[in-house]
Amino acid sequence: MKRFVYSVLALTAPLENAADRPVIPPLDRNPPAKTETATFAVG
Amino acid sequence: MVRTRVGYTGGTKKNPTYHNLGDHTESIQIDYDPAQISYEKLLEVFWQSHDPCRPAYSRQYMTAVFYHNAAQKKLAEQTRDREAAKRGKKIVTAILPLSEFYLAEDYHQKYYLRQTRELMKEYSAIYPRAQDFMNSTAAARVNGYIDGKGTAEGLAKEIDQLGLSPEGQRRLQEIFKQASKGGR
Repeated sequence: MKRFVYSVLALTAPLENAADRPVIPPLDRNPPAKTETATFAVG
Repeated sequence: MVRTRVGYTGGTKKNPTYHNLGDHTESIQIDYDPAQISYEKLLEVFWQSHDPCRPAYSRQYMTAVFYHNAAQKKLAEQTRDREAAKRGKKIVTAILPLSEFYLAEDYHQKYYLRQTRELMKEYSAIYPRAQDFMNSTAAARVNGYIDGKGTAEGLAKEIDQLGLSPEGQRRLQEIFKQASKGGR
């Protein structure tokens, strides 16, 4: 039983502190669904 | 502007690299939201950002519009003719169909940001994968601000959206201030 509890605890323990995890920049969170592409060469 | 990437196109060599470019030209691709900006507006910026009357030194550094479809071709030709009339000179910037676009090596993507170690450290933590970093809108905008592009008002308005720490934000504002005065 003890072994089982330890195993479950190991599976559910956070791997890192969420506060330390880098956050995706707000500007990158909701890109538009439809984009078009342009290609240029400027020398 | 949603995403940017630099690469090589316009030539026939398969899988070019920076040191083995063949007949390709260094180019930039821009993914944009047509609801926010038109292709014609991008062309306007393009014509203003280089001297279209000056012949290129080499194929590598040629100036060109690589059109993706008939509508882009038509607008590129119309704006070129308008530009020629305005300048009273022949335009040498090429208008060519887009062939295969080969991504440049990772170290060329968001070049100015990569040279700014303290800000790059923050983006490397957010985006450990080079492809995710390349596709970041925030990284593309910071790359432009580091080169002094954009406005101080624009930067102030969106600085909280760029994913930087308070120290990173302060550093970016300093760098922008210096670069926009031509001091980078």
